[in-house]
Amino acid sequence: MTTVATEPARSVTRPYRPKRRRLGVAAAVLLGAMGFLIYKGVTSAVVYFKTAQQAVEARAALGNSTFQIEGTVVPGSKRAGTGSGNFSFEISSGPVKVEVHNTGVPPQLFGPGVPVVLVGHFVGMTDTFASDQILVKHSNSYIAAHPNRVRGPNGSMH
Amino acid sequence: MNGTIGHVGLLVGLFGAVAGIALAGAGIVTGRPWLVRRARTYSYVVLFGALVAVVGMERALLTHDFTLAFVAGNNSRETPILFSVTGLWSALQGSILLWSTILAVYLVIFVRHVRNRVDEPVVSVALLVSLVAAAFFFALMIGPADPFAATVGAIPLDGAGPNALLQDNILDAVHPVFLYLGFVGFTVPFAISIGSLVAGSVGEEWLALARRYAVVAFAFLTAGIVLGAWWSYDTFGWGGYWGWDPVENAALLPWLTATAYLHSAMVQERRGLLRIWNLSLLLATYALTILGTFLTRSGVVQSVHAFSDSGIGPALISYFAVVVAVGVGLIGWRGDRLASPGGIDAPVSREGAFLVNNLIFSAIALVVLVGTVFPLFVEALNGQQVSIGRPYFDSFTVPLGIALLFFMAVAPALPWRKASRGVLRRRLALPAWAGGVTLVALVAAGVRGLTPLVAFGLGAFAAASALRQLVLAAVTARRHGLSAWRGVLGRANGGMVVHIGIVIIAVGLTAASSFAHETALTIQQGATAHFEGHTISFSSWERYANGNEKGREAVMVVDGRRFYPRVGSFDGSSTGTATPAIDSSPFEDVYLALTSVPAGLVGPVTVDVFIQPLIAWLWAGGAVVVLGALLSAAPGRRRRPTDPSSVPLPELADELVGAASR
Repeated sequence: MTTVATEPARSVTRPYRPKRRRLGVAAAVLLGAMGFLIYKGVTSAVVYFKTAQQAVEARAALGNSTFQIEGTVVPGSKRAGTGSGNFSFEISSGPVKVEVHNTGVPPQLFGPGVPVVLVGHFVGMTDTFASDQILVKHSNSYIAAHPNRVRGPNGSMH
Repeated sequence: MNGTIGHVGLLVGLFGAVAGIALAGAGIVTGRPWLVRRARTYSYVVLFGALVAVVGMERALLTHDFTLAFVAGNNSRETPILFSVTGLWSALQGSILLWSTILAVYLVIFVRHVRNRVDEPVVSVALLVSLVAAAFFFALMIGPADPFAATVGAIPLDGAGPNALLQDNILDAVHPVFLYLGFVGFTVPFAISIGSLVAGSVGEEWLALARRYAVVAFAFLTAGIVLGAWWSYDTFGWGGYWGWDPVENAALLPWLTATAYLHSAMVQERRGLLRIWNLSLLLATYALTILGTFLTRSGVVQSVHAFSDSGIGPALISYFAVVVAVGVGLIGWRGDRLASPGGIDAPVSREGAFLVNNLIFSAIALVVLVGTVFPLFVEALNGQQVSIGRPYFDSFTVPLGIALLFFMAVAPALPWRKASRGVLRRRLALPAWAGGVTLVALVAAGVRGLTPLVAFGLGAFAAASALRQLVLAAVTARRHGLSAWRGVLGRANGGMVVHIGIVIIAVGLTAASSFAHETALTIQQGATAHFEGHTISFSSWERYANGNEKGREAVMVVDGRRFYPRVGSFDGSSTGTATPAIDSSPFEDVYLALTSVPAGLVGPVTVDVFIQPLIAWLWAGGAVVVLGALLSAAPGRRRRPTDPSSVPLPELADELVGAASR
């Protein structure tokens, strides 16, 4: 077949269908592979979000996996830690309090009584939470101290 | 008073849209073109209504009319004039008003473009579809998202003021406008593709028109995304600019499909191929703008941007469902009739490269879409709240992005139909050398790391390839007795300018993500610290007042230059906002952000220090992309009559239209 053939002539003369079927199979395989990769990627990247109360209730199931925990910084609970920049504090949600050991840099608005979301995991078999990132929640502004989900109590800007 | 003006404007706009729909619909169904011509006029009524409503809202904002809930919530007596004006789009209801107004402007421009051809089925259906879109958004404002709703209860003496972060920076005042100009701009191409499907004709010239609108919308959307990233970097003190947040993804998704379309549209114009695919991409782009608005404005996805919860979620998702159902239905109905004759001859050809480009862009869009909506599905299925972290997005987009850089280098050199080895060698030799030499020079200069080296090498390859095309186009223009500047005008040449901009962005992204350094320093007053070759010292704490903003700042000196990282608040609000201090240069940014301010302003300072190489390239590259997109919307050099073409020249088509109207 010459490459200078005009469109209609070619569509009549070329062996059209087998080529099309082969393309279809290739596309299906490609799509399937892509879908599988995306599924694997997204399911392994899931980070759960729990309030401190929910986290303690689901303590056994959470094991030492990484998740986001939400609570309010208990006033007066902040203490310097062992390493430089490390510190500990407690967060509360409802009646539950969780001890937190933090190694991340706190954002500007971190302080007593501030609602926070922490990224990290429970340590060993204890109810102590090791946090390496602190996100400050804010009810009436959007704080992007770190690019992640920040949940306002009423979800609103104002 | 302002509320009345606004409501009248909204009602006029809705009336214009509904009357236009009735006339155009009746005209199409009964086959009476004069009815459709009459409907045309009503797009001006829609625009008039929108402008009246905008005037009502701006008047309310500037006069601090707190009888309106929107003004009470987003304005205060201390708000400066500029931020009172931009207050229009500082929250949901006003944003919908901005959206509707921009839509009305596009509608009128479209009507003027096609004023003498509304009798043609493609145009009359497109007009109908645009009017339906306008009616939907006006109905939203009369229903669940009323910007002119009255304040409930006692009228406050002073309003809450705009969100502190929104009055921090002029970039924020403008980036939503660009985003909306981009989002809404895809309405016209969408309407034209629905028109083509209903009419059952591809109408290549209408596709050329759709492409031109899409290029303009693409330029605005790019500007909106880049300005948004810049604002995030300048304001938030986290040293970053992109977090794969749902709001950011919502803007990126239509950008990806639109970019794919702008490439594959060329295959259709040149070879008449990929017709259904192109229509699908336009439908998908529009649907994604609506889905993005739903995701970010309905409160279903918790985003760092935390836009307000509102009642517009069900309306938006229903509208999205209708758009998708109509699009898919029409493609199923008309697919065979519109299918392209023939196919791609050889995989190593320009059209083959465009196909691969489209596959990659679609794959990235799929990855981003899944990552964005996956938390929704999990929550719907088992009530668990989850988020998808950055590693997921990076693990897919980095390799796909590198593949894109490679094809960006090779594709412009590929001839249509079939490439021979000789042609490829001749055309790619110089760009490939540029890439290779860059790679060797970087290794010699001590740059390490597989991803950055591959990205920089391919970036140089792609930039050289685009430059080569531009130089050739300029030479050709000269040979035809035209100014060399004609070489950057038009679809393909403007596209090469866009490619150079994308390479600049890619280099900036790679450098900023591979070679950035971050630390937290605590420095006593008068003391000095060292980080990554920089000398950082802390002089003193100061108070400052700047208009309606008051706060505290640290006076710091980095390499002899003064920095003032701050924490301040507006209008005496208790919400503190930190403003980082940034020293930007083409090679490196030094970025200081306060982590806390001690009570009583005594004691050491604790700052986050970021050293970000080449991050300014992101903003510069964004500007080049926008410039290139605008150049490619301009009509290019005429094709020689002997060149193969499946489309009438746009200039010729315009002349024909002009002649017909005279």
